[in-house]
Amino acid sequence: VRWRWLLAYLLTDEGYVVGASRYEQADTAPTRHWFLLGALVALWVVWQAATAAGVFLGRAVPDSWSLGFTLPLTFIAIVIPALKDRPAVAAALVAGALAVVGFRWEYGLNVLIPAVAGLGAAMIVSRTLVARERVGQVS
Amino acid sequence: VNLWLIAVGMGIVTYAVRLSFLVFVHHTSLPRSVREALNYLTPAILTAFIAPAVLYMDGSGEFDPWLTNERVPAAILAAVVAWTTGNAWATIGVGMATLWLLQWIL
Repeated sequence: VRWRWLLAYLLTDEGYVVGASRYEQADTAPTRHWFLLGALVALWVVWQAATAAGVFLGRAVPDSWSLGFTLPLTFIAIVIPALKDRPAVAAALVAGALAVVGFRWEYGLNVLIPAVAGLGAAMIVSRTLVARERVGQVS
Repeated sequence: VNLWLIAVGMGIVTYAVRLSFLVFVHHTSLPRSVREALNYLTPAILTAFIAPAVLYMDGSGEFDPWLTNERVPAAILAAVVAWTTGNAWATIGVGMATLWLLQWIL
């Protein structure tokens, strides 16, 4: 449990993705937290260095380069492989559509509401698929 | 000086929120349906970020989901590359190259 205090400090969004995909492969080794620590420390160092670079160099990069667009592109690179079944696709479609509608909602609701609705859609689709499978087995 | 205080304060709050979930909520104690739903958090939350970032114009904040908005074809091509290659650098490279090319032409 003491590990969690350290790992919680180092956790970033990217670290979560790396860790989650590793443990999905049913890694049950007693030393598995070392994998997460290694990934998180590497990410933390790069994160701090890149932030420092951004602070000092950021103003030198003109807006016309549209470097901000690399962020949605990075997310596209992560999300496309994650669309591996129908509930995942439903989650993405519902969350994406609601996020467009709620673009101007404040207090982070523009992300929170679409995300929760997306999870709901995924569950509905997943339940429907399971139910249909059962009917198929009976007949 | 005040800015540093705010930054440190925000850091502490962020850490506390993460810690509260990681240390005090053990994932096996959550109901099965909640755990299953959380599997779909990645597609849900990332798409909620991507869609508005692509479909609204950068400067004016105007809604433009058509091909007149350079970001739309750039994102579509990037998605195709991600789908076929699974390579993150190729995805970002093709997306940015498309965006720059279209901005230069238009």
